[in-house]
Amino acid sequence: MIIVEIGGDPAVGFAGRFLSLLGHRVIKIEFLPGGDETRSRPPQYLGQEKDESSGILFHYLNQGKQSVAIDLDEKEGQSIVKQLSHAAQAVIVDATSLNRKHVNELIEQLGGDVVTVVSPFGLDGPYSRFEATSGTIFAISGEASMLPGGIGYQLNPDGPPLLARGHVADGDTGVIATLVTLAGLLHYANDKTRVSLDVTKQEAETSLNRWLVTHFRASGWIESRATRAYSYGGLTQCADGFVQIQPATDKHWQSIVNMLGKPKWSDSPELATQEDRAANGSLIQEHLAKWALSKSKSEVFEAGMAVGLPVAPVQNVADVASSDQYRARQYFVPASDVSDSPLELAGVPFRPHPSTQASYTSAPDLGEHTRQVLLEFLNLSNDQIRDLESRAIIKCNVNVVRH
Amino acid sequence: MNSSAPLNGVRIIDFTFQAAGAYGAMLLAALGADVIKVESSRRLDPTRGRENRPYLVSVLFDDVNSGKRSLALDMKTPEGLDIARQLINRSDAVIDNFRPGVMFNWGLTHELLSAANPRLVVASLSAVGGEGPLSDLPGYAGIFSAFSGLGFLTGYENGPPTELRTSVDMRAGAFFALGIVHGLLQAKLTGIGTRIDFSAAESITTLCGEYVAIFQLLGAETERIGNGDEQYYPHGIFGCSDDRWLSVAVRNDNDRQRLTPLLGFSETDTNEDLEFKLANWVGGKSRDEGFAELQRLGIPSSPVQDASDVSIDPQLTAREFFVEMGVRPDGASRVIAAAPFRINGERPAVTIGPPLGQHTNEILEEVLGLTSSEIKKLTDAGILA
Repeated sequence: MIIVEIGGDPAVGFAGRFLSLLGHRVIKIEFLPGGDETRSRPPQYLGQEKDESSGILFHYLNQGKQSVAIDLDEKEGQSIVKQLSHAAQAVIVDATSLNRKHVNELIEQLGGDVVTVVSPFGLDGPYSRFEATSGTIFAISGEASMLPGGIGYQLNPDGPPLLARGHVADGDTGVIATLVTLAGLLHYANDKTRVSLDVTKQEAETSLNRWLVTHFRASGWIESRATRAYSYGGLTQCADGFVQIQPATDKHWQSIVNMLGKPKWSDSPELATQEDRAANGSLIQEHLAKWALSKSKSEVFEAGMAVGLPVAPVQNVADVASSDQYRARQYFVPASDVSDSPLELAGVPFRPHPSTQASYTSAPDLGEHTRQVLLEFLNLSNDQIRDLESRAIIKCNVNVVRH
Repeated sequence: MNSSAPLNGVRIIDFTFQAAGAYGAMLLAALGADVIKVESSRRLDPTRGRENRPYLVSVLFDDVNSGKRSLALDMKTPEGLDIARQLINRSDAVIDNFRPGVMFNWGLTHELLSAANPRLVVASLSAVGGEGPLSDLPGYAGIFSAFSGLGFLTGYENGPPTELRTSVDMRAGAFFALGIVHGLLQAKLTGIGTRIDFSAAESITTLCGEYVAIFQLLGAETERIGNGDEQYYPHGIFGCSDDRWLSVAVRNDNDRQRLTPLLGFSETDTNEDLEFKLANWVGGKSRDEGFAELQRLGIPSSPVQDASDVSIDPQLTAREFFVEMGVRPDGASRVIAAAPFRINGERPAVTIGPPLGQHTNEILEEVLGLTSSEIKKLTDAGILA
């Protein structure tokens, strides 16, 4: 299916990436002069056969897409976008990229069997004109007020609340935007009825923390950094990093006892029941922490797994990139024409059987597919395309050689 | 069921429980699917009994099981298994988040079920997927968060990693729902069903996948930088005069210019100077004053909201994101969060999670065509409990 992605918000970028990896043809409309903002985001990388360096986030979000570069300030540019949207099965639009005075009008003119509008707060309500980033959305949605819990808080109780690293809230919104777009496409396939979908970053993120509010409204309880801790276990330091230990049952307690070699202190009446252990967790943690600190995280992980204890290494990025588990599942997808050495990017978190054919080409240069797409969908002649380009209404970059 | 909802007419047999799988199934119900949650009194969804519950059933259960129907079925009996198979044969998808092996032991695999129902989507969520050397890893949020890399990346500079918990379950659940709808769409287009083997850890890695790309392209390990950002500066969470916190992101020179009259930025300021001036200004304002003033200038900022703040957030309130509804005859009510989307301008209706077996009879009559006497026999034999 053909998906037209309009605008440069990373949330929309995530959605287009997921759809591309699931086998759909994603045409990304970028706005001149500079195109997607993430092209200029550090850190940068100059790819093989590329004219310009671009942000690694851009590489990541736009793998497999086609780039059409258009000046949206010009009427002719707006007309091209509308015409392209009518050629698509689905349109995913970053509302913040459109003229805010006319945003509703512009959206109404878009084609597509499914139109998914993504915005920070929605097109209505008191915050509809407010600015946001992934970080500020994360903060307003409840989760930052609980981070860091456990030892992160104990070591630095005066520190500020914490944001998740990177563009997590954008990714979360991209997941919801993709979910509803796919559902809309299924609906259209069934009964040919057009669907419009409204996704906001604030709601996508707050929805993940829904339990915070529902518990608060039911009981008055406010979860916080100070309360977000285990009586024992949790994040535990080893000689070369950290592991996560998560004992939840009596059986898991026995697993800890076995892992530590059935020490005498574990027979203490103070630790006899689940309630006792919850009350006296610091006693357990003292021994567990001392034991773990003398081991590597892989030793603790293996020892825990051997006795049935929920445990995992806290993996750094190098660990993730070389994970045997991920590799066995072919999680990483190739992007072989980005660099001289083999590059693999994170894929989608499921293996569909039978698999869906996806495009694994690297992210496009700005306007790399403008000519191809306009010839294919708008029936423009080469002369007309040259004229539009000479007036800077579009940009065609045809210097890229794909392998 | 709303006939204009995108998944209207889709039936899903739902063996999920706890947070991740149940939330994914809830999103499918909000999109219009008929989600039939299968449980038995011998093995309840543990969130039904979760403590911190002022009413009859758990708050979390009510919330993440909104919009579903409940079928009580003892899967340890041959009759229960047979009913499950019949329901699956008449459905579009069967989904679970058991540890790998449970559905296999019941004979509810894609290979066996697709013989009778070739368009069926069979989707399983687990911590790191049902295949691979670590497929036995238990599915707690802290575990797959640690495995994913996001826990390592998040934290104060020079501080420990960070454990992300229930929200990470929900993230995995939302992505799981995406995978299921992908399978349903492929089944519609090709006539062939799909098996979805879903990894919660991978779903979280995908959200921070740019750092895997950075490692591969530049060979550089990413370290923790607190609330910093690779591009925006100043960027972070700053203390306010009322002991609350404000999140601010200054994206570019345009933002810095807009802030200059307010904060006294100068061209010779270092990044540290800019951050000091911003922190100093925020420190003299209440959280809500700072938020209003920065937004008036077009600077991304937001209050760091806790549960009590989020529950009265003006934007969420205006868009009717939280719904208060009666749950007991004595008038006790509960607040439930709605689905995070509108369909054709309308928010999907919200209902609280169903009591065990609330819809057992109607499902067996409607889907399998059983008579009331057949249902009574099954009830008397303890199969529907």
